[in-house]
Amino acid sequence: MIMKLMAQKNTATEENSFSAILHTIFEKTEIGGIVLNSDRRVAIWNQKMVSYSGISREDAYGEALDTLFENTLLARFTKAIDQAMRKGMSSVLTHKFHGLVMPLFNLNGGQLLYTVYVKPLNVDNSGRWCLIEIHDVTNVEEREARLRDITLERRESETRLRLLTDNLPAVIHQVTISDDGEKEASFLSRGVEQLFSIDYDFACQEPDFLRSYVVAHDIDRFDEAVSEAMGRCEERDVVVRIAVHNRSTKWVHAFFRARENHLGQTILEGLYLDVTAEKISEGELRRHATVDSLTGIYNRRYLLELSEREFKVACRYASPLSILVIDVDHFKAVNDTHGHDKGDDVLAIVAQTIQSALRQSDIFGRLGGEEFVVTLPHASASAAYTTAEKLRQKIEKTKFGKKGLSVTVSIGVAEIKPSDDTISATLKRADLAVYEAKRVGRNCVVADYQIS
Amino acid sequence: MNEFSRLSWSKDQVDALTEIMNIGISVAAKSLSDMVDEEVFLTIPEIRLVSRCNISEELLSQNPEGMSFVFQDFCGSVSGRSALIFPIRKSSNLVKILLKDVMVDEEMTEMEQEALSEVGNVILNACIATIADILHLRMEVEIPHYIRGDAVNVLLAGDDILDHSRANLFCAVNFKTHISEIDGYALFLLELPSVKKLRTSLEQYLQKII
Repeated sequence: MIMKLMAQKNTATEENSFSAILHTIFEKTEIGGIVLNSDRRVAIWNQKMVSYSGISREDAYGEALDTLFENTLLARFTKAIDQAMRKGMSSVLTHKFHGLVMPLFNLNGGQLLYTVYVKPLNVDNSGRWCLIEIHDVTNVEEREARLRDITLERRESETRLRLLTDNLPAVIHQVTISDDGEKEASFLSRGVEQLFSIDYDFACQEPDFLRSYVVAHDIDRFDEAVSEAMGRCEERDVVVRIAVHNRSTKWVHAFFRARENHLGQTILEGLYLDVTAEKISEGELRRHATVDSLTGIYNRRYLLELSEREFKVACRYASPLSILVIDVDHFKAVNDTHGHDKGDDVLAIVAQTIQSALRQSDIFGRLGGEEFVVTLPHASASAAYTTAEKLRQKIEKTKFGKKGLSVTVSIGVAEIKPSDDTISATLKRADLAVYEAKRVGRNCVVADYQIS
Repeated sequence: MNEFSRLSWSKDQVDALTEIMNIGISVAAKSLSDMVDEEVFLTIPEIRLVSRCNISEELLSQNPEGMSFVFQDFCGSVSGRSALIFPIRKSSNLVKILLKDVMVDEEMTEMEQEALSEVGNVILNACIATIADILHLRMEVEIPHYIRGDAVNVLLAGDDILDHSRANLFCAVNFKTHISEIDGYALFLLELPSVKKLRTSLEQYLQKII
C-alpha cells in the first residue's frame, strides 16, 4: 500500500507531505518506535519512546543505544540488533524471559512490561537499517493474570460444587434440549450411582435414563410432570417408583424445572430424591395410628372407627351386629403382685388368645386399660353369647409365664337395637353387662338382655 | 531418502545439511541456555526431505489433538517458511519448564504464546543464520507468529510466498530437548527453485572444503 502510494508520487511537494504523514503516524502510534541507521545510531525516536525512556528526541538522535542507556542493554537485545543489521533476521524478546531489555517506565513511574520486536529495514542505497518496536503489555499481562485468577477461582468453586453435588443424597440432572429436539445431559451428579445404583456413564449418555426405570404404572404421571414443567416453565414434582437392576423398587421424588439458556436452548433441570425410606416410615406411621403398641391389635380410635362403619352397614342392611366387652378380672392385683411388665405380658397374651379364636371379619381392639372389645358382624346376641363363652373358657385355660399364672375375664354382650344412633349406645349396654358380670362374681358372660 | 534421491541429492549433500543444522541447533541451545540460565541440550536425531503432503499427514497422525506452531517467513536467495512444531501439550510443558511457571496449562495465554514465539524465534533464527552464514546466502527473516491448529492449514496460512500448485518440499529437522519427553520438528518449507538453490549452494560449499 505504502509502496503503491510512493510510486504514485509526482512532485516533491507530494513527497514531502507524504513523508510528513508517515512521520505523524509514527509519532502517534501506540508503539514505542526506534529506527537505527546503518551506523546503528538513532535516526527516529518517537513520542512513546520519549515517555517510556525519559530521553528527549534531541538527546537521542545520532546516539548509539548503548550510550543512551549507559551500557545496561541486555546482551541478547544487542545480539538481536546485530542479527537484524548483518543477517536480516527479525527477533522477538518477551519480558517473560528477560524482564529488562532496556530500562523503560510507564506513566506511573513503574517498570514497563513490554515485548520487543527487532526487524531489519532495507533502505535504498544506504545499507540495512533496523526498526525496534516496544509493545506495552502491562494491560495484557494484568488482564491475563486476572483471567487466570478467575479461571482458577472458577475451577476451585466448580470442584467444591462438584464435591457437594456428588455427595448430596440427591441426584442433580441437567439436560440441554436443542432446537431440533436433540437431548444431551449437560450435568449429572454422582449420586445416581449411590442412590439409584444406576451406572454413571450410562446415565450421562442417556438423557432419559430415569424414565427408562420408572415402573409402567407411574410412567404417565412422570411424563405429565415433565411436559408440564417444559410447557409452563415452572416447577413440577412427582413421586414415582423406579425398578432398578436388582429388582428392588425405589420411590423417587422428582422435581423438574425448565428454563431457556442464553443460546435459546431449553434446559430441563431435575432434582431426584430417594424417598423410599420416607415411604416406608409413612407406612409404619399409618400402622402406628391404628395399632395398639402393647398388644398389636387395633387401638381405641381405630376400633371405634371400624365398629362404627360396621354399625352403619348393619343398620342399612338390617343385619344383626353384636358387641363383646371383655375385661380382665383382678388385673390391678396382677399388676401389684407381679409388676407392670408381667401385667403387660398378660394383656398381650389375652389379646393373642382372643384374636386366635376370632373370625377374619370380626373386629377386635383394645378399648383401654385391661378392657377389650370385639365387634361381631352378622351375629345375634345369642350367637355372640356363645362366642363370648368360648373366649372366656379359652382364657381360663391359658397359663401365663413360667409360674403357670392364670387369669379370667368377664364379658358383657350387647346386640344393636333399632333405637341405637351410634355404636356407642350398644357399647354402653355391653359395658353395663360387664359391670353386671363383675357384680355376680366375675369369670362369666352376661348379656344385656339378662339384666332386668 | 526417496525424496532426496529423486531430487538428485547426494549423500554428502544431505550430510552437509545435517551438519549445518546441527551447528544451528547447538547455537540455539546456547541462546536458550543464556535465556533461562540453565543448560539446554538440543539434538538432531534425523533430517529428511519430505513432500508437503507427506509431512502434513505424518504430523496429523502423530498429533491428533493439534499442534503448536511458531513460524517465520523468509525471503532472499532462498525463500520459504520455517516452522517450529510441537504437540500442543508438549509446547505448554516447554513454556512451563523454561518459565518455571507452574500456572501454565494447555490453554496458554497470549503472553505465554509470545514466550513460545520467542523460543521458536531463537531456534529458527539460529538455524537460518547458520545456513545463511555457511552457504553465503542472503535472507530477510520476518518476525515469528504463534498459531495452533493442524498442519495443512497453518503451514499454508496467509500464504503469499508458498504456492499450492508448486511442489513444495520440507526439510524436516526432528530434534529433542534434554527436558523429558519434549521433542519437536523444525520444518523448512521451500519452493522447488529454492530447494535447487540450496542444493547448489551445498555443492559449492562441499567443493570448497573437500
